[in-house]
Amino acid sequence: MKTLRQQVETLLRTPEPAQGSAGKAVRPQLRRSGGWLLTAILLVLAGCTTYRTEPPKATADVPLLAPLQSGITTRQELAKEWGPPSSSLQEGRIVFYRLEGNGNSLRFSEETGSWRRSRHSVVLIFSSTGLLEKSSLVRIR
Amino acid sequence: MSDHNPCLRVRTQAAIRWLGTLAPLAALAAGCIFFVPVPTAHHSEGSRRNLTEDTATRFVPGGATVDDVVLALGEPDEAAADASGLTYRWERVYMHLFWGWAIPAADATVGQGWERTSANAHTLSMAFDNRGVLQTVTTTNDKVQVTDPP
Repeated sequence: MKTLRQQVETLLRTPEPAQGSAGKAVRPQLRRSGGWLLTAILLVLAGCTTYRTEPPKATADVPLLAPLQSGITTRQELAKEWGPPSSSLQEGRIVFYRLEGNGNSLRFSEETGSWRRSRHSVVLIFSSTGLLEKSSLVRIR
Repeated sequence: MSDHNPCLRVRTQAAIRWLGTLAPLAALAAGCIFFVPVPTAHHSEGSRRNLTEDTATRFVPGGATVDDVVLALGEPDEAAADASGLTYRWERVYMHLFWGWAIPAADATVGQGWERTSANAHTLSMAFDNRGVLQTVTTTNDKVQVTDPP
């Protein structure tokens, strides 16, 4: 009778696939259960994933936002061209728009509240005279 | 004449009755009750994904301004109209727990299943003075559990 150690050693050895009576390759038991083991390990490891956040982008790098020019673009022009913002602070000094899509398919989003469809936030900061001072494009999700 | 203890005999009969009731139930339930915890790490649907627990350390009270914060983090989830306070929220799911029971029958299997989603709900709140300079940074992390009905 084989000892436990011998049995384990036999299982851990990976011989060439054995031939069945019909000449068909017979998969060893350990290999067959290997798929399940791998799946289980992957499922558990899924809990160990981490994520990184991206730094904000310059709006000039995005064709849709290219018309924005610091010191030139005014709040009134934008409101006329882009419509109402998703939110604003300090009586319109800070204005936010949302974008959906990715890459070349970016478009303005009317979503407010949660971030289900919108993926980016456009941040615009105006001077007291209503001229654009600073802007950024932040990837939210 | 019996040498059996009557008290012991009564207790043995009671135990047999219990086993007689439990054994069929245990046999029916064997393999039919499942309890599967699946560890995960993903954001909840509709949650923003551009903040981590370390984000708070990027902004120093007394140095950072409202403009610095919004240009870096985007539109806040909650804000005072004068921007004296901004709050960002995000939620990370860390576990899906599936459990239930099933009894295989000839033509139809009966059973019920539930799913519980466990998540960490984070907030990052910042308060600014009337010049827009960051004064305080507060973070919270609350456990949230949602059970889907069968």
